[in-house]
Amino acid sequence: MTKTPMTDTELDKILKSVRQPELPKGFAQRLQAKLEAEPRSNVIAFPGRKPEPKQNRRIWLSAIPLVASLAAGLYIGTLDSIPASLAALESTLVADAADQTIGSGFEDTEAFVNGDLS
Amino acid sequence: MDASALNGVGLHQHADADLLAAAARRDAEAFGLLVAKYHGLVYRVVWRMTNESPEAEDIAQEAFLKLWNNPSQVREAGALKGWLMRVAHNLVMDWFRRRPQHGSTLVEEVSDTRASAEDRMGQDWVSQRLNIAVAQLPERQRLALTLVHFEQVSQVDAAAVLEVSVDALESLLARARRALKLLLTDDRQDLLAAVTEKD
Repeated sequence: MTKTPMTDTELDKILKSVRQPELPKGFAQRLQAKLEAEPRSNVIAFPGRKPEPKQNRRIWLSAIPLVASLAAGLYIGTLDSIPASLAALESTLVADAADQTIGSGFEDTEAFVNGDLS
Repeated sequence: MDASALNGVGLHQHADADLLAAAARRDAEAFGLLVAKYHGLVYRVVWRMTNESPEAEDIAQEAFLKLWNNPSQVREAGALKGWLMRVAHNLVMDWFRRRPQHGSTLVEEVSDTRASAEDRMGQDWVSQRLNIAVAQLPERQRLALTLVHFEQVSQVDAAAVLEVSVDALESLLARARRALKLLLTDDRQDLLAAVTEKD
């Protein structure tokens, strides 16, 4: 014989009729006794502090020449004329640059085609 | 704590926020009012989740001890009810883990549902039969059913207690109901007769 399945309405009817448990007598008194025996924690939980990342000294060391050159640039910029030593250095650098022949590589192409592999 | 504070007088005259703030200042009377307001609910949830264990009282009281020791854990007074139920549920889960055998005491101890025809007419029998069926549900289904059907907690609040979406809660409830209908099918006629008799 096939059993008739329970419907939702029937289940709701049964669920509504269920008897709820009663609080045990003396619940409050027993809880009160426990509270009195309980030493209250004085710890206040603060949000956890994040550990600070370690400063990397190398970063600061590498910044020193940059800061020095910036300071020097600013200093020189405020001067009316370039100091003689810097002017001499500048002319030397310009002369050296003029002496150098900067090739693009195409100049060697003709010699390479002619069989000169030197 | 003044035990008279637990007699339920004027409970609804005090907002949770005021009581919680007073309890944080170690005002035992205010805390007593909070306990009186929620101890029934917490006890019933624990009782059902532990399948009517005699230890339900200790577990329910432990939830209130946690509140007394650190009321600042409740960030909003409006969330107090949910917080208590969540803590109670976590304590029940801890209790299950501590037990050597994780099982349903109720089903093991009161598994004889072959009551006489006369006994089957009473409301006690209906409650007992239903409780046995509920005890066989998986824990999360049992909690969902307990909160929504037995404690009339809104689905939004129940979902918050279970830390799931409302859709997931509805799914838990649907599965719980389906399982209950199957578990109660054998006694369907008698259950309906007893319920109708009561009406």
